[in-house]
Amino acid sequence: MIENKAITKKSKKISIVWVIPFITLIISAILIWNNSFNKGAQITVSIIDADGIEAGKTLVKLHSVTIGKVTQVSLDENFNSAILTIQMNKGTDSLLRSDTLFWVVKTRVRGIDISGLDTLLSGAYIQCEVGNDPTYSRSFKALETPPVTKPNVQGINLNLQYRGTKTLVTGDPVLYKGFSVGNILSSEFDIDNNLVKHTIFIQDPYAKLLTNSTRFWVSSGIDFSLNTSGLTVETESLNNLLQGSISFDNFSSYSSGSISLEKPFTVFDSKKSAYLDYLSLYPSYVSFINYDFKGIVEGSKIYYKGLHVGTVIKSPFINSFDYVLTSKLKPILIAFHADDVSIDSFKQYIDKSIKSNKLCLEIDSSSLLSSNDQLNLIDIKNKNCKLAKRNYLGYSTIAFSDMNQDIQGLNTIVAKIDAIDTKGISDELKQTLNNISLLANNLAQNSKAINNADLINKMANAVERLDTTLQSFDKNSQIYDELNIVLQRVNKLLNDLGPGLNAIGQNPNSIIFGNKTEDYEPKKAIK
Amino acid sequence: MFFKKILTIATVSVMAILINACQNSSIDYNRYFLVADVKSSSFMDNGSIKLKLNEALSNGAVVIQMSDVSLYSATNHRWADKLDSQLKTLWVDRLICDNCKNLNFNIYVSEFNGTYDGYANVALAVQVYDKKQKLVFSHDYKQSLALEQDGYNALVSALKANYIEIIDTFNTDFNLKVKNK
Repeated sequence: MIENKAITKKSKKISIVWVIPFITLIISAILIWNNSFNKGAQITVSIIDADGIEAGKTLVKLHSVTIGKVTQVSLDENFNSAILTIQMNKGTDSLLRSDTLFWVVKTRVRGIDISGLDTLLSGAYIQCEVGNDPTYSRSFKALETPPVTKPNVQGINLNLQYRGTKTLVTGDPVLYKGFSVGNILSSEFDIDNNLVKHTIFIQDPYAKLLTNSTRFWVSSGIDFSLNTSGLTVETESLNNLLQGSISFDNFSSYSSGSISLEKPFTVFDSKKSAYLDYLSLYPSYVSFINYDFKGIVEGSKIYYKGLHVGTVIKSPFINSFDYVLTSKLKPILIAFHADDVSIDSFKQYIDKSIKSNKLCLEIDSSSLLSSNDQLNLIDIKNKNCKLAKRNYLGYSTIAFSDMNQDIQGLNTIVAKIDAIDTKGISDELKQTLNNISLLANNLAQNSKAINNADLINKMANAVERLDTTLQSFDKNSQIYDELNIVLQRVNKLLNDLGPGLNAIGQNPNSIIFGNKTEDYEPKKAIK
Repeated sequence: MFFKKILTIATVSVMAILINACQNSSIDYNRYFLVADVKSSSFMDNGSIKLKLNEALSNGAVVIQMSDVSLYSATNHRWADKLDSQLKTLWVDRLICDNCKNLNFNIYVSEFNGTYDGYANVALAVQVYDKKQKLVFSHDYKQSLALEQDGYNALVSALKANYIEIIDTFNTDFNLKVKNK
């Protein structure tokens, strides 16, 4: 008997069914690794206003390259600020330094500067600027506004103080001869001293321009000044009109010692006042003038032999108003700053002349009747030159010429003019004019006959010429015919264009698609 | 990229077809001329005949009255020359009077159009003045002529024939009046 027995063998192959779970496992592993291990650090950034920030959408960029994304926006414990949780990309750990800066980039308009326009379409994003400190950090505080200066820019910080009323804010430029060389880093109002403190940054190599003769002033807006010389209007560039800036200049190479950073610098209201303050570096003297000379003000020029050698830098030059109440003469402070002359030798000359009573200031005669704002320096002995004091507030004084004699001279001239018998002159003049008129009439009558004949000829010629001209436009003339023909052609053309224009007017797309309608076809009469 | 190119080509082709399909089928360059058989001297204007045309007929197109209150000006069927000029030339050509040189004719044509029911209407008023500006003759004429066939040619021919008939009637009336004076 044969026994049928099944022979079983164990299969050594793996079932194909296991492929699917195996693939699933691999994919899961990849996803888990990507989600958990293939990421950078998670950081928090504290921000005052999270306007425009959206969790899951707002990106963090460095040099326009995305390095992270905001994953969560929440409030801090005290509800004073927002906390942004940011998932950084892999490989960005080295960027997370304690002085790394973050700020929100959105559209900002300031004067004629507009930034962040691309965020109108793409939405706000967070910009990052890597710091220098090697200390690692995962918690940051965002800046409220973008940093004023670019990173790693060398330069110098200066403290300024300003007592004026013109507005300057962080970010406003610092200009040298109209060229931007720095920015205002911060501004704050000092209540105790009633002034505004600015910290400015001047980048290299422009920091070398700063010397002890450097003066700062606010350049913005429009300056009006009306005085006896006339109306002066000074305006800045459009950018300055809208934005404001601080300018500085050294004005010249005189006194170009190195700058001292111990005390804050004064910011003046205008270039003129900065310049006048700068002039105080030059040899300065005091003179006493009559209070009546209102034209002599700060900025009035002093001439010596026709050359501009000095300027009034302070008028009145007093340390207390009480002086004005008791004094008969007004002290003014003058600086001699002639550019073409060696200042030191000029100073020696002035000192010597003062000692020998040969130096005097007087009102420039040419300005007597006009603005009265110029002074002349004369070096001849004049009895009218009076020295009120030898010294005043530490300055040597220069004598001032007594103007009484000149004014008397003027009065004499005026009196002489007054004394002229104008009535007598006018009667005589009248008589003369009448005689001239009679003479002219006689002449006219005598020459009338001659003139008439000549006039008639001329008129006849003119009329003849006019007639010829008019004939050329006569109905039977060639010009008339040609004009007529042209007008008829134009008329015909307009008639021909009429239907087309009508069609376009009623159906504008007929320009492209044409006019589909056919003309109505007349039919024969039905009898 | 390839699909984009295909799409662009297809769109341009469809647009070209549409534009071509919507173009006008034909344009008629014929212009109607009423004075082809008029002698040349009739074209010379001696200034004694002044003819004015109803403004509605002066746009250069053949006009058809579609109802009591509406007119239709054809787009493609237009006059070769100003209609008033042609009508005046016809008048000069057909006018018969002994003392025409000393007379001034004022003519106003109020109708010179077809109708929707197949007629050619002509209506005009004539005033004749002597050199002293005295009115010598005044009469209104109005006549309708049925179209024998369809189409603008038939209409224009009927209008011309009708107008000439009126001139002839005027000649008879005017000369009779002058004779009887």
